[in-house]
Amino acid sequence: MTGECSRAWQAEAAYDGRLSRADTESFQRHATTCDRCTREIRALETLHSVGQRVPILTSTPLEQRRLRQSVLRAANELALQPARPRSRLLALGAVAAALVLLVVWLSARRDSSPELAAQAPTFKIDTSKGATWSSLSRQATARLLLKSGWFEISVDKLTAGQRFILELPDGELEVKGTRFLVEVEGMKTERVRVHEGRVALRLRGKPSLLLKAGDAWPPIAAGRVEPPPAAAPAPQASAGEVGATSAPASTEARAAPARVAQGPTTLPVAPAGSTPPPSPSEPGAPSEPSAPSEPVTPPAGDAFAQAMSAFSAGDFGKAERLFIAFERAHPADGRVEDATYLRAVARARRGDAAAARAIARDYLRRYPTGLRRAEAERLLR
Amino acid sequence: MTALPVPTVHDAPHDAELVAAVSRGDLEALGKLFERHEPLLRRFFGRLGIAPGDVDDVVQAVFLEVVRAADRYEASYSVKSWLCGIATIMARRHRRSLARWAARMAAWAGVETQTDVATPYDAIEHDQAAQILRGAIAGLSAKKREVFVLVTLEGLSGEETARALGIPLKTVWTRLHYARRELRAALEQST
Repeated sequence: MTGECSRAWQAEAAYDGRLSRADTESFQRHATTCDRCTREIRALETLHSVGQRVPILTSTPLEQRRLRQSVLRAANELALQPARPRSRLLALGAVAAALVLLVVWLSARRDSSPELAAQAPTFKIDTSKGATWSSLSRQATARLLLKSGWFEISVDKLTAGQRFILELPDGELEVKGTRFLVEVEGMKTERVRVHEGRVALRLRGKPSLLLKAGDAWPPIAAGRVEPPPAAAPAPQASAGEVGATSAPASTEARAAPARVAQGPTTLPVAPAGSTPPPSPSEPGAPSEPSAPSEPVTPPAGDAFAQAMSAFSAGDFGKAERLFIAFERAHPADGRVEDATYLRAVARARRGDAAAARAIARDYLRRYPTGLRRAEAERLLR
Repeated sequence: MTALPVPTVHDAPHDAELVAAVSRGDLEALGKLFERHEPLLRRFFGRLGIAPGDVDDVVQAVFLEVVRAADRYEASYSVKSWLCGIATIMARRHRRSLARWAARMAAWAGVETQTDVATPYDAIEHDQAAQILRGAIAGLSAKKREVFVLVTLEGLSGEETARALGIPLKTVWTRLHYARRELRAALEQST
């Protein structure tokens, strides 16, 4: 047998006596017919024999006697040395123990803190159809680059060291743990509206602003039109580390890459007394609102009745659109709560359980003691 | 009448007994241990690459450590491997010692050091393979060299080596394997 041998590794083990008796005998039988293993054994033997020929240090008897005397003298001195005081040893021990504790504490701190700091904030993002954005997260900082569209973002409470930053075409917006809406169009930030928490808005050439819950930028003047978000069901989309989406989506994310899931559109709550949504041609409106744009807003009763009629007729897609239009047009109406719940049911009946659950969750968030709470909870199960 | 066994009063005491006596402060026992094991330690330090001029100091340090540690000696393993363990620690300390650093500084400054003095190695100039192997052993990392010297050259078992060095048995085999591989390559290159 020549060339490579799968048992060649056994030569060293057999040579060192690491193999069992049976394995050793088996290997020896094999080695008699295997050149490769024979060579291995010879190489080990050669190494050993050459190693034994490497010269060694020796001493003359006289040198040995001198060293012996020196060792015994030193050992005698060692034996005669007074024992170290116990209290000194104890003090040294205490100092050593304190140092060990300090090191353990520091290492525990070092072990735990980077994990916390390294975890990027978690957030949920709803976008308009055609919105483009990308996500860049590094350690404890999540950074979203918003290019165009509107984005409703809900950021979980930030822990120490975590940062959530939106890069806008004309500045940046840093989140302090909140839910808010931001709209970007034509390389310009169109509006920011904070629902919960606080955000710091830093636009180029403008003083930094701290927006609290209920605040909006630019400030909403009386009669100002609040552009509606899109409401169409979102197709699946994905965002890579530096990827982009161009589809409406509801995304729950922990750092990049973001996990994008189809979901409902979370509606911004318009202030009381706000006017109906603008037509798509109005500045500031999303490019493709999926709700029907009505030239004349029907009265609340009619709008709700139309939506209910479509719902009863089994046209759940139309019903959902009409409920959305109703909610936008009449945000202060008492039936908005029902409309939200019925949207969830409509989605469920269209077979989109995930979106139905998301709308139900939205319902429960907005109406934690709502009349449809039990039904909404059932939808979540 | 059965002959009574004659007590062997002149039998040399076992190494372990000598260590036990040393632990009780018997310097005579220490002297006997020295006589038995000094050649081993001198050889071992030479193989570990300690300069000949420093070997006496390190050997003395080993025996002083024997005096300090004798009461902790466990008779379950050989005095030879125990001494090799202490010697390995002393060799490592020596490598890190200020004396060595000073010697290097002296070498940089152009002062002639003991490394230029003739050594016993010079006596076998004719054995080229041994010379090459000596150079290759010197080129091994300290960890691989310690294992190779203890197992292959000093004949300790894997278990004894593991105990002497305070490392797992598998680590001994791993280091030995890589040491052999490097040394074989060095020898094969030369032929």
